Amino acid sequence: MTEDEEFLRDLMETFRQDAEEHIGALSTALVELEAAGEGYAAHAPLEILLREAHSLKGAAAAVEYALMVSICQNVESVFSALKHAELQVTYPVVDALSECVDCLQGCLVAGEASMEGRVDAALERLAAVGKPTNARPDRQQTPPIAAPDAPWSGWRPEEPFTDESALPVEPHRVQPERQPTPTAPPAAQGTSAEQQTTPTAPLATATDTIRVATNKLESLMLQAEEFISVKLSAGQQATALRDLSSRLDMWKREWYQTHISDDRDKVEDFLEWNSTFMEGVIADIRALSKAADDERRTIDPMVDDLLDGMKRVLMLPMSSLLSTFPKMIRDLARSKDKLVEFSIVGADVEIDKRVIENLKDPLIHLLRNSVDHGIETPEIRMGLGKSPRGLISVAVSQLENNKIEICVSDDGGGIDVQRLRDTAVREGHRTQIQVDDTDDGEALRLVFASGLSTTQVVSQVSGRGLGLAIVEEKVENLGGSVAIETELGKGTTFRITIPATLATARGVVAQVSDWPFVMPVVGVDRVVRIHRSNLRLVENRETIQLEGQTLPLVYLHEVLDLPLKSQRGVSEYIQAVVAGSGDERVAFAVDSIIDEQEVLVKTLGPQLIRVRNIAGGTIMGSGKVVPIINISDLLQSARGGISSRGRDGASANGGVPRKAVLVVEDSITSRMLLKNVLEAAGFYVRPTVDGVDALTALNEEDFDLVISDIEMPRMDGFELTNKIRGDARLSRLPVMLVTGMESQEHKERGIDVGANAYLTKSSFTQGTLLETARSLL
Amino acid sequence: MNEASMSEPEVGPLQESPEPRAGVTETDPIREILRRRARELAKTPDAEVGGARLMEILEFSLGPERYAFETSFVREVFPLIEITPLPNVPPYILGVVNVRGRILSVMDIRRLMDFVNVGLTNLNKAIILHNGEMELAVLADEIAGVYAIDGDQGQRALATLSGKREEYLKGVTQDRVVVLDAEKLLASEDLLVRSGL
Repeated sequence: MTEDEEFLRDLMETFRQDAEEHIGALSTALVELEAAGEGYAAHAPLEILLREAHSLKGAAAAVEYALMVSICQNVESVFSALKHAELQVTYPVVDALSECVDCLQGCLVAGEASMEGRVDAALERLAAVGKPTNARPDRQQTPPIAAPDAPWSGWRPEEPFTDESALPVEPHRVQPERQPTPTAPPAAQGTSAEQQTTPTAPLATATDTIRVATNKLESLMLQAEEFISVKLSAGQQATALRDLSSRLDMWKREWYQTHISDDRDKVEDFLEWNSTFMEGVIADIRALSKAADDERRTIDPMVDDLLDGMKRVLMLPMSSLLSTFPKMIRDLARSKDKLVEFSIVGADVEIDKRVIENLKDPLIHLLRNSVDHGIETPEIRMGLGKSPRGLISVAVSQLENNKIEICVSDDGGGIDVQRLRDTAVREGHRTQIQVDDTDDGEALRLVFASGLSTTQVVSQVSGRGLGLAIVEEKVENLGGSVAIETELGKGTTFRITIPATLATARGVVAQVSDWPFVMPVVGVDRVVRIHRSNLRLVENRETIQLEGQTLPLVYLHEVLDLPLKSQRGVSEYIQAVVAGSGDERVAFAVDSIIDEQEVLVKTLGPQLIRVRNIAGGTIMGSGKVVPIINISDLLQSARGGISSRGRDGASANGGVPRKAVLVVEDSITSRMLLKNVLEAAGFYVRPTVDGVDALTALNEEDFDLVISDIEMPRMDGFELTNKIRGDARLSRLPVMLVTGMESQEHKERGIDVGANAYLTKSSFTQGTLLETARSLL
Repeated sequence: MNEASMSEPEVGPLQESPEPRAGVTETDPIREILRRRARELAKTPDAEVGGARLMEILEFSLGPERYAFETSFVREVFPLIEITPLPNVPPYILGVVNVRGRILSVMDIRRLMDFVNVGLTNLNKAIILHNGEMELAVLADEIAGVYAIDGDQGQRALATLSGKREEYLKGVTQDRVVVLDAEKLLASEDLLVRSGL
């Protein structure tokens, strides 16, 4: 069968790559072991050696490489003996081991058949040196090298090894069994090694590496090399522009000289020169602009290709994961006396390696479920008029917007939704009323509830009801989702949608005081919209009612110490993000909810190691950095009480109420700056974004001074001043205009509308600001 | 002249050349002078006792003031298109920016040094400083240029500057450009933000 052949070829290819990694790790660790000698230092490399040999043994057994299995088994026993100090790390031992590793490599490259002789010799040699010395090793008793008391470290390469220790003593007796170390029966060997390695394994984990096909890297290199030409041409363009600019300087000098002179001839000369000069300049500018255009056209695809290529380096075909499934399904079906035909579609779809790794468990769960619960036994199927052979398929397809869909379907019995309802009620997951209210689709979601299973029999394979809960969790962690479609008697399809590249987290994007923030979905319970009339004051704090529970309502901008954006009091509804779980939930009021989307979490750079309430940042499609909220910090901040930065706090300390300043400024940086400066000087500051915003604030609070920018959207500073002067209540309120406009005209207009002071941004300093502010109060 | 061309470019004050420039009439003395000069130039500037220790600096303006960093700590100058302010950070952290997919913090050095006159700036450039471990950006308005100065000629610090302000100051050049100590800025533990609850 060509399909089988293809599968076998793929399998061999996978094994080869896998084995190469293991052999590489073995060689490296062996070198480390050699350097470490013995004792504590040798522990880590031995751990790695044991694990690698064991894994390689497993892999080789799967493809029936008997010779490799045999070598692995033998070296494994020696490593185990070394680890338990039943054998000392000596040169002959390491040498023999190293020869074995070479043999493994040989088997892999040249095939087992050609290696037989060399392997036998190597194993004999290993058997001879790898024999554990009785029970407890004693240095005097076990002279590893010629010099009786020389431990491992005493060895020097020039020293010849004496025959007694380096050469096999009784090779032929041991050879046929290929079990040189009778410390433990070979069967137990694997398990014991495994048990010992497991707890310490994380300590000696090799760094995470990725296998990249050389051609992918080569094409990347080529693409990177193309950028050299970009660099050169950018340099050329810069030079050309500089040249042009100096020519224009020259023109300016000429013009200046002509224009101050009364000499008519000179002017005529200039005009003549000027016309040729300008023509030259125009031609050059055209050429430059064309070159820049050309370059942009070249760079565009280059950058995109490079980005794409780089992403592709991190992508693996789904087949790397799926190729292990046919055997699993076959074995599983056989053990259940079922007939299953398994098909895979779209194995060549490429997905981020990290996503693939995390998909393994969910897919295994789903497939096991299908075999165990989905597909009926051949008898039942025949009775139903179906083919005795059940069909299970995995179909991977690329969706738009960088998403991948994986469908796991079977043509089995389907899920009995009514039974699901009954089970849910019986086991106390839902009340009868709740269940009756749900439609089939919703009821079907119950399969994802932890601990709920419709099979009466809990088998080894599945049935504990945990599998699907884990599937959902894992998929959601990848930023994806799972959907189910089922038809009783016809079959079930699980549809997994995940991003092809690692998007890590899903987040709710919310706007707070003009700034977007991302709140990770993991910590968010829900998003709610509450009518203002539903707010209740409990112990002087605002609360909302949610499912009969009273939750505190906290304004996110207050927790984050952000200026208030005065839409409060305007909208009838408050939008809030409910974070936390159970009784610990808190509703955080935000200005608006913008979106829910996948975000890639990034650190805030090396300087910002930890920022309160902020977990990191993400870069939006527009290139803008958006901070990601640290929900657990936020909950703690909220519980600790909102920072009471109001005016009351100050009057409590000083006795004198702080002067209140209304800052009106549309630029966020300037606004922050003004706020910081004024607050540092002891003022209470309410920042607003424009005139309209400011008027709202003026209606809500009393202020002692208004500091306003002039150019602002909606209502500018002049109009605002005008309005303030026109309002009887506010007419005496001092207004200070701060602006980038420096013209006398503006200044006059400012004074006309009734501003008390006028500060230009260029003359603006902390000193002058505070001085002017104080003079007006 | 081969020797001479291999040396550093002629920047800064030349060594007090004892040879008289006047007597350039004969061929031999000229050659002798050239040879001697070439030897002088071939020496590495650092090794000279009491000579000039050249330091390359990048001068920039921020508001009305002029500052500079040693170029050896400058990775690049980055155009600031958008800066995202962060809540709950010290005032000297202006916010964070996206530098080709990485997020980096931007500092306003004037706030760091408690300068009284913190004016409004155009917020248009960030100088990215780095040493092996730390990387951060510093706000700048305009880049004036890169040039070498005599590292020893700068005053250690202005007498009026004290405490925090002096801490990150390397000196002031004769042109009254404040040379900041990038090395200290990058290594300072005080500038790391570790705000817990």
